[in-house]
Amino acid sequence: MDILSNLAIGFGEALSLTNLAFCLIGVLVGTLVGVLPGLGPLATVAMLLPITFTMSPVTALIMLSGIYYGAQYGGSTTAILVNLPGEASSVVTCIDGHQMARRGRAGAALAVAAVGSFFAGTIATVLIVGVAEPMTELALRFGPAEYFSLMVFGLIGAVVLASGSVVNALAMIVVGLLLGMVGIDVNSGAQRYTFGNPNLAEGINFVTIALGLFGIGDIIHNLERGTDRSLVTSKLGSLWPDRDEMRRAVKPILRGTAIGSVLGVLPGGGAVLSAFAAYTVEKKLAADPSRFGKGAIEGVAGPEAANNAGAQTSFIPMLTLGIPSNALMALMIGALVMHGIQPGPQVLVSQPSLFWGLIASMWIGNLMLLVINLPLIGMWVALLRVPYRLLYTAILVFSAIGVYSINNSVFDVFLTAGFGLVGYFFIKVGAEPAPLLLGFVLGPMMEENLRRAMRISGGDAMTFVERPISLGLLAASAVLLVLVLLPKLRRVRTEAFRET
Amino acid sequence: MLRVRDPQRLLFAAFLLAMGLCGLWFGWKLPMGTAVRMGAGYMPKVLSVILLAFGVGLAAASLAVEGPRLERWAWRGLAIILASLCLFGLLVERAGLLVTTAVVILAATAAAPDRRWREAAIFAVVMAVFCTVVFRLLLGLPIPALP
Repeated sequence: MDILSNLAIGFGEALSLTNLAFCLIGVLVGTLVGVLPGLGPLATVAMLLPITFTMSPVTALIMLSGIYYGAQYGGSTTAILVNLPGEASSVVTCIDGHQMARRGRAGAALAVAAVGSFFAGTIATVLIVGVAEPMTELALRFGPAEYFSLMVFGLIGAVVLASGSVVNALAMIVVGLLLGMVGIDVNSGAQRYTFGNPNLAEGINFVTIALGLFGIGDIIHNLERGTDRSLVTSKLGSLWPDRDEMRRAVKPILRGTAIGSVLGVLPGGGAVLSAFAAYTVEKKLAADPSRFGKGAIEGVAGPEAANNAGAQTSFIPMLTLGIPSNALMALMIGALVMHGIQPGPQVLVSQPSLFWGLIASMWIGNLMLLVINLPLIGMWVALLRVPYRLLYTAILVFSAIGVYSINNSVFDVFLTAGFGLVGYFFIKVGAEPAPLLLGFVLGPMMEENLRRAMRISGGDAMTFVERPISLGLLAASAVLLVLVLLPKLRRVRTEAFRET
Repeated sequence: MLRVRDPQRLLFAAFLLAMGLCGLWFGWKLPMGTAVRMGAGYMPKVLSVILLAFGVGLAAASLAVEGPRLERWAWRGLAIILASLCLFGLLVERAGLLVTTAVVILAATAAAPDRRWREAAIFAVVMAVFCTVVFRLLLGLPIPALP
């Protein structure tokens, strides 16, 4: 009954006219950035975050999360029609989706992707409703020691389950943690790394980091690389899958939903990992794996369901524990903080309408996406024809306006340019910057919990291994680290991300 | 003879070393405190030392393990994009959103290999009006619209 009354609160909140409107705007913007290669949901959320200040926190979160899961829908459109991943999690959809398009089945591929995503989104929403309260209750019993260990586990897991060099990623986390130290220390009031600059007293504004590293750095890189977006397919074919395609798609959608739901919750999980895992599973289970890569509908249905499920369940640790499982959730945490809400288990208790309203809006948003996407497909394709030479100048201006308007601070605009340089440097040395953002967001929280835990224990570091939950989390982190450094598993991990 | 086998990794290691050294240098005077009462300098110094360790380790690895070569940097694009962004910062409070947007769009266009100035000029005007209407009038952001 509790769940029903909670959902009633949620839908009551989400169905208000303002929230419906911003949910729609969110999913439309999400679809747009999903469709357009060279602009991801991360940079977009960072860009639009400042303009949400005038809204209530729940409206802001509803719109920002709409961008994230909306991008999962949009990404598949570009993947199928142009053979370009509009969004990172659609990389695998290109493989079979585009082959289907070449055989004149683009419409069917798009429809299966949309329906699969909707189904996955619905299940994931139900899942969030189911686990939110137990998770929160568990987390409310956590002391500072458990919290510190949980964050360690979150960070390590994020590194292990993502692609790329583990050592680089660990180093990136530490860079992020150190950047998180900038500003006035809350305990002693001492200025740390502010160089006497009042603009840094409250710490580095995390939007400058996110936009610089992911938005500006990418623009510079895209410009030198050149983006080819010649539309290969213009004919959609029938929008409905035939009976055989339908039959083949059902099980992959179910499996993809399950895989995505589980992987989304894990640290480092989310849309990208889920899509890769689902594709691998479908290929392994197929009676005739050679069909994959030549337009197998299973290779579209599974990953598309998985990336949407993963995108949604990654909200679970963010909402219930206050721990981001990927860089985008780190942005969401930042958004909560900027709206004056301390992320963590108390959000559910103190802000029930925000919590349940956001969850209800996800389902509504998914429904909107399903309805909007298929009939409007022609419009999205037309948008793909906007040349990058116009697009990036617009992104640049939006970013600048966004960053400036947070504190009306010109300093933040310059800081973003600085982080843009760093972001480009990271691309050039092949270091993935996402862990930096996680470390940056978790840094102050980790320090605070470490300090509290040490004060409670009287300076005895053994407290972290004497408390069972804390010990379990630390042990799990250690096991993850050892596993990923073993040569054999390292190969498996590399292969999992090299399915393309 | 020592030979750099993985220049990308060496550069990243140099970045980490620089960060670690800066962290120690500028955080030197922050009080360490004790384990029970950690001072403001405790975490920054610990993190800086960890960064130095990562830097040394990765630098050593870059001499031992073969890796991809360094690509060339697109200095021109980099300079134009960053300069356009700074231009926004310099102009926005003096010239207002309308003018700033148009100027920044034009400045940033210089970075495109396939730039078309006439198209960019039209786009700059459209964007200037669009941004002013949306951000200033509709969303009410406290940015001056005109000088």
